[in-house]
Amino acid sequence: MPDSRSSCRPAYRAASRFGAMALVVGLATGCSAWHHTPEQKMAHELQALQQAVPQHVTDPARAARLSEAIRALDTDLTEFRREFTAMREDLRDANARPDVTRAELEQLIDGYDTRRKALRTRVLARHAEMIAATTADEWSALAKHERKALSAAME
Amino acid sequence: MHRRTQRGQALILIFLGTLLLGSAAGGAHGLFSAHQRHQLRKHIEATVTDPVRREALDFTLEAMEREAAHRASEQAALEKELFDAMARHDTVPAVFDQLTARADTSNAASNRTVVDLRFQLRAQLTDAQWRSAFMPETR
Repeated sequence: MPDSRSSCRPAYRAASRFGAMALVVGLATGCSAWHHTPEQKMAHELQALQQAVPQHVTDPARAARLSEAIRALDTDLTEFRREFTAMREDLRDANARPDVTRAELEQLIDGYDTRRKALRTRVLARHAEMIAATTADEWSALAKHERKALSAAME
Repeated sequence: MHRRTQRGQALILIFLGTLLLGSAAGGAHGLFSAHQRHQLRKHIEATVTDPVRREALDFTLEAMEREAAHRASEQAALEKELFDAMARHDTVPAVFDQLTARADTSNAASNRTVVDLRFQLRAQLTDAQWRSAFMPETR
């Protein structure tokens, strides 16, 4: 009578090998394959938006304007993420000091807010450029990518 | 140390803003999560034994939680309005002006409240307790 445990052994070994490889990859990468950063998500969505342009906007001149606006949006959102990260570090350092003054904290917060509002103006201008370069039907197919990219930038 | 840093910083990170609307109490996931509030409360319970001080600290922490929840709720509503407006092709610029103005007003008020609460909490902890809760791990 064949040993049922023996017949299962190749499948068991394959599963074990796969599990071990997944563990090694996970440990080596910090599971980065499964946890994308906001920057990675943002880049992915902007790329998706860029790739969707020729599918939905057939007029070459408008498609070119749209692509240019998306590239500019990429630059603005990347700047925002950089600003956000720097501000977070500055605020952490300031907050850790027991003797930090209210004026010092407010200066940090207000400075960041001023820069954020300037970037917001630019992002809304990019949005207006994209609206101007599309018809209502075209935009209805593209808007979801813009929304996802902005959501990722604001995480 | 890392976890302790995180729980301490969670309170201050409510200040950090999102690009379009400002304060990230709701948008930036995990900055002021229930888990982090729980961790800070546990830290205070472990380090502050005087019941009178503990009661005052609980009051401040609860006020911070209420403010975070309030701001998160406002932010979620504004975010939905803003993204819905951006999805429509016929939204006029004035709509964005109104939405961002509302967000700025709400954000400024929330920032003031949280700064007040931050300094209220600071006054209720010793220098050593503050450092232990908020010291960055890099130091």
